[in-house]
Amino acid sequence: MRIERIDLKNYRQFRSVCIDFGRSPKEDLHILVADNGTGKTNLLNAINWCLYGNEPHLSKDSQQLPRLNLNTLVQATEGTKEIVSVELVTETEGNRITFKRSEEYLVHKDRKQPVLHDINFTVTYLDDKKNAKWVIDEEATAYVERFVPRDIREFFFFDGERLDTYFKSATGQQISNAIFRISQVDTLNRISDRLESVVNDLKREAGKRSPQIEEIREAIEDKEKKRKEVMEQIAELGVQKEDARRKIDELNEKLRSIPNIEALQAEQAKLRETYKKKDQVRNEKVIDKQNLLFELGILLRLYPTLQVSSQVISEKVKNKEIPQTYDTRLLDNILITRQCICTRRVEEGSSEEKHIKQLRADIATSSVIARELLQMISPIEQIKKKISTFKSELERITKEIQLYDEELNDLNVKIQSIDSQIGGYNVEQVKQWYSELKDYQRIYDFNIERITNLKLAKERLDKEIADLNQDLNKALLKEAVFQEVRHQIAFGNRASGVVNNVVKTMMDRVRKAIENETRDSFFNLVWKKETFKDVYIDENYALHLIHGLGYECLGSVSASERQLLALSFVIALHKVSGFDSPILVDTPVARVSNEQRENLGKIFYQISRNKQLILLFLPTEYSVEISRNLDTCASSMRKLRLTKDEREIQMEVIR
Amino acid sequence: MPDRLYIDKEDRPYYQKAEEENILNFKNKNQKEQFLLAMAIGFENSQRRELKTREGFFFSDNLGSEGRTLINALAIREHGSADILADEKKVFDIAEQYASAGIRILADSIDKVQFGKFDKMFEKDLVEMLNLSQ
Repeated sequence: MRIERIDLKNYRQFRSVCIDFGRSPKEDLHILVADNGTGKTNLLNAINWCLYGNEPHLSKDSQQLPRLNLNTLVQATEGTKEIVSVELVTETEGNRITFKRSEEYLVHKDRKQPVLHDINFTVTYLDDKKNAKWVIDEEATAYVERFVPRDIREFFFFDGERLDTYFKSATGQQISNAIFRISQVDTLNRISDRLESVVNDLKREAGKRSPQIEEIREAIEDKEKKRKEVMEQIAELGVQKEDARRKIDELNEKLRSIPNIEALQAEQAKLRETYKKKDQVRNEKVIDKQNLLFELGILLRLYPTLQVSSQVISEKVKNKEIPQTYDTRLLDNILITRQCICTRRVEEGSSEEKHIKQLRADIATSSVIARELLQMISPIEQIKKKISTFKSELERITKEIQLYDEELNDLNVKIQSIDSQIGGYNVEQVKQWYSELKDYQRIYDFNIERITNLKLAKERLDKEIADLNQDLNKALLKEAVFQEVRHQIAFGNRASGVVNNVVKTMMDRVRKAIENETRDSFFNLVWKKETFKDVYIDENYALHLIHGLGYECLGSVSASERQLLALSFVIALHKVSGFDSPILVDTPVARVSNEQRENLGKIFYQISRNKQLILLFLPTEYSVEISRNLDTCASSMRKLRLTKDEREIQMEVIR
Repeated sequence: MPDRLYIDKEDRPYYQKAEEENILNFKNKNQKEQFLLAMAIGFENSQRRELKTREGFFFSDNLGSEGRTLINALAIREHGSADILADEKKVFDIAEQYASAGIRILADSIDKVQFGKFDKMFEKDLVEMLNLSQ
C-alpha cells in the first residue's frame, strides 16, 4: 500500500490542504519541511485519526483546541454546520482504496467548543468487476485492519525522536505482540481456548455425576489456576529481567572505555593515606637532621677552643697541678693553732702567717680552676666522639630522607596517574552509572533466581496436573457411562496440544523470518559493515546487535545506527507481515549528528527505492548533509508554514 | 657571681628572625641552644660585640656540663690561660659578646641565602669544616 494523496479539510491548522504523493520512476521519497508547530506532527495525527479515529501524537496545546479549524470556527455563523475531514487515497496492487473520516460540528457562538453532531468513516474501493463499493463504520474499521492493523501501527508511522530510542523502549513483549499479530495465529489461539473450554465443560459434566471425578476435576482446576498464575509471574519477571539486561548492556557499553572511578578513587585515597604517613616520617627525619646540624654547627665551630682546653688540661695534669695535692686542712689548722708542723709558733701579723694566708688564697683560686677543668674533661671527650661520628650520622639521615623522597615521589606519580585517568570524566555521572549497574545486576540476578524457582514450581504443577489427569482418566475408565466423555476429553487435549504447537512453530518461523530480513536489510544498508557482526531476535523477542568484537552494543551505537536498525526491523516486519505500508517519519534526524546525517540521508534514499517513504523535517534538520542526498531524488518536496494569525497552514510546493 | 647569661636587648629581633625562618628547627630550640649557636658563629667569624643594654636570656644553671665546657673552652682560648675560669663573670662576658656578634651574622646569612636554602648551605659549610679539620 502507498498513499497517493491526503486531503485535509478543516482539520486543525489544515483548513484546506491537499498533498499529492506522486512517485518518481525510481524513488518514492516525499519530503515535507516545516517549523515546530506548523503541522508536521498533526499530519501524522491526521493519518492516524483517518484510519483509527484517534490522534496519538497530539501535543498538550493541541489537546485544548477543537479539531475544527479555528478560522472556520471564528468565521462560521451561529447554527451552521462545519465538517472536519481527512481523506486518504491509497493504492494497493493497482487498486485504489479511499479512507475518509469526517466529523460534522454544530457551531454555537456562546460556546467555546463546537458541538459534535455526526461522525462518518467510509472506505471506498473497487470490487473484482471494477465497480465502486463502499463500506462504513465497523465494516470500514475491519477493512483498515486488513491493510494497516491498529495493533502494529507503531511499526509504520513513527515519531523520529522515538525511533532513536526504539529498541530501548520497545520491550520484548511489544515485539512479541507484533510477531503474534503478524503470524496471524489469533484464530488458532481462539481454537485452543475453545478446546480447553470444551474439555473443561466435559470434565464438569462428568464431575456432576461422580463425587470422586468432581474432586479430581476441582484439584486439576485449582492446579491449572496456580500454573497460570505462575506462568504470568514468569512472563512478568521475564520482562523485568530483560529490561535489566538491556540496562546492564547499555551501562556496560557506556563504561567500556571508562575506568572504574570508584575503585580508582579508593586506591587513590589509600595512596594518599600512605603518602601522608610517609611524609610525616620524612618530616621527622628532616627535623632530626636539622637538630644534628644545629648541634654539630656549635660543636664543630668551637672545636678549636676545645683543642686548646685539652692541651691546657694535659699540661696541668702533666705538671700535677690537677688533680690538686695541697692539704688545705693542714694550712687552716696552722692558722688556728698558731703552730707550724715544725713546732715553730706562727705569730699574728708575722711574715709566716702572711705567707700561709697567701698560699691558702692561691690554693682556693687554683681549686676553682682545677675543678672547672676537671669537669671539662668528660664533656670534651664526648664532644670529640660526637664530631667523629657526625659524618656517618649525617649520611645515614640524608640517605633515609632520600629514600623517603623517592617513595613519596613514586606515590605522587601514582596519585597523579589516577587523577589523569579520572580527569575528563564526569566523576559523579560515572559513579552513578556504576551504582546503577550494580542495582540492575542485582535485579537481573534476583529475577533469574525467581524465574528459576517459578519454573521449578511450574514443572511440579505440570507433573501434578498430569498425575491428576491420569487419575481422572482412571476414574472415568471405571465407569462405562464415562467412556464417551473420556474419549472426547482425550481428543480435546490432543487437539489443544497440536494447536499450541502450531502456534509456537508459526511464531518461531515468523520471528526467524523477521530476524533474517532485519539482518539482511541492516547489513545491506549500514555504512560501517565491518563494525557489526550479527543481528538477532532471541526467544524472548528481544533484539540484539552484536559488535564485530563479539559484545552486545545496541545501547552504545550512534543514534543514526539505532535508527537504521529500527528501520531495518520495520522493513522486515512489513515484508514478513505482508502489510506493505508506507513508512512515515516525523523529525527523522532530530537526534542525529551532522556527520551521521549524510549516512542516514543515503539510507532514506535506498529505502525509498522499494517503499514509499514520507519524511517530515524541521528546517534545521534539513541540513546540507541531508539536502545533498535527498534534493535530487525526492519525488516531492513541500514546505509548510503558518499564516500570520497562526490558525492556518499554507503549503508551498517546491517540487 | 652571675646567675644568668645575657644578650643585648637589640639582639632580640635577630633571634626572632631565625625563629620565624625556622632555620635548623630554630624555633624549637631552647634559649641556651640558640645562644650557643650564636656564640659559635661569632667565634668562627672572630667577632665580639659589647652588649649595650643587657637582657637576661637564660639561667647559668641551665648550661649543663656540655654548655659550660663550651663557654669555658671559649674563654680559655680567648684569654690564653685557664686562669680566666676563676672569674665566671669574665667567662660569661666573653660568651655573651661572641653570641651578640654571632646572632647578627646568622640573621645576615639568612637574608643573603635564598628562602628554604639556608639549611642546605649550613650543611655544606659544616661538611667542608669537617673535612678541613680531619
